[in-house]
Amino acid sequence: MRSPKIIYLIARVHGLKTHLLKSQQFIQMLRQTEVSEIYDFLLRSEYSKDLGMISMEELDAHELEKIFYQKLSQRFFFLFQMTSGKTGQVLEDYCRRIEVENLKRVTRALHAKEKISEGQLIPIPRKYQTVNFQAVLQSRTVKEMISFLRETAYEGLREIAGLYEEYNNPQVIETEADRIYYELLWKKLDKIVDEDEIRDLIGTEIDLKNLLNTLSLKYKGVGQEFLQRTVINIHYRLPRDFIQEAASASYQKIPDVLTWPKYVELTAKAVELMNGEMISEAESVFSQHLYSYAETAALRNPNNLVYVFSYLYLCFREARNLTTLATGKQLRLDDEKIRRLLFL
Amino acid sequence: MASIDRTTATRGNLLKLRTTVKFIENAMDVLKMKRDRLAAELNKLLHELTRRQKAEKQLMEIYEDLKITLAMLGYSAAFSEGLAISKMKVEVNSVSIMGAIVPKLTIKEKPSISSIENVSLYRIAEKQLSLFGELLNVAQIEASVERIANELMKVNRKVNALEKVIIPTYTKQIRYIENSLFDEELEDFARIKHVNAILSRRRT
Repeated sequence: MRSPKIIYLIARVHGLKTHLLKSQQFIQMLRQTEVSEIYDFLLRSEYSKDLGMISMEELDAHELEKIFYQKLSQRFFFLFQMTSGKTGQVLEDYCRRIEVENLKRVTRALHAKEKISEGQLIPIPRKYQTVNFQAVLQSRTVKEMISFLRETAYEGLREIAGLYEEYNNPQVIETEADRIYYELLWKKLDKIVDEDEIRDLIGTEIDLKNLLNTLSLKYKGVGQEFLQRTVINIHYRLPRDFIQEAASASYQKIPDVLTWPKYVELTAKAVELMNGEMISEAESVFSQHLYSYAETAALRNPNNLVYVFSYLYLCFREARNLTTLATGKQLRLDDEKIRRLLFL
Repeated sequence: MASIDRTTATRGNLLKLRTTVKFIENAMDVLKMKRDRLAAELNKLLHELTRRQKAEKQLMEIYEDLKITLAMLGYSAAFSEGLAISKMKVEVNSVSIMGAIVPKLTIKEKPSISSIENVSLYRIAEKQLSLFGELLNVAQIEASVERIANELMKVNRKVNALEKVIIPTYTKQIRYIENSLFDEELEDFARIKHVNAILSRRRT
């Protein structure tokens, strides 16, 4: 028997999911020609309040994108108010992905000795921040930034500070932050309500992330050692020795290393697109699968806690789709090209 | 040229003017050689200017790919990825081609793009980086063409001035002095003849 709090949370998420934009609405927006028309369209949606803050003079895809991610952050952290206990902790850990993304942005800027302001980060309500971003933003070097992360979940970054200096590549820090995030989340899933379904969804995401990361690094021609260091050590459906085998193979041969039929199919499709120089489309293959997997999980388990996580994935999908639409329209991309990048 | 016009018709001046003309003619030959060399250099570079069109075409293709990647990632994420790229260092030196100072660009430090996490953005950066060398070459060629053409124009103007104005003026002056000296010699000859005739008449 589920606790009333979880039942209430799932019921609320069912309600919240109705606020998400439907595929049909994305198609309607795709038919618009200007960013301002997308803005007008969104004024009739849940975004109206946030969009009202932008004046017509400063209306552009960049400003809209900020609003979309602000809304995403609000949606993520709104759920906290309805949760407590272990479920609340898992949700909190899940939502840390925004914090991880912000940390990555700060790392990149500090690596290049460039300034970065709070406006360039995805907003996180102060009470849900585990990292003191005000202090982190004042750092002058990556090492100094890492020192501010003591007593946080990202304390482990201190251990790879030397490796970062050795490679002089912020990707070391970025992948380590991802690894810390996913490993922590994976650990927290132990004995949670509906553990199997949630583990299946998050496990699929980690596998896809590892696949894309491996494919990307192999495509870039990165060395075996670096590849092995940047992988998330969680293999859900990926073979245990996947990284060892993939490290010595070319990126075209990665599908041969895999055993799970869906992954073989996805990777083969991505490799084909990469061979045809359609890299963006190749990357979309994995995201597309993840979002449709989340959608299917929600449909199959409407009264399960995985529904809440699926909703969060779909919120992310909506933010990405809206960003693609607004940016694509501003850059005057063909409707067909934008359509290929949308996750519908 | 007024000073040349006023030169007194003396043998000394004639010798001086002849030396000057010879010197100017030599200088003109040197300038002509410089002009030919600059023209040849310019001709060679003009053919290479077509590389700009090719580079622009490639750049436009890269921008088309970039548009797709930007639409997929959004401005913030793409901007953030771009921040991690180190700056390119280019050394600008000067080289003299027959007196025309042209820039010589050398890439001292290529930007490190390995820090880009997103593979499509990485591929775009890789293409753009390989094109940067070509763009610098095109910029160098364009600057060289401009400066060589400018120098060629100056040299041409000097050669024309020497050929059409200065040398003819000197030649005219030399001819004037030669004529004057010839008249003077003829006059002296006639005078001597006349004096000789008077003297021989007195003797008889």
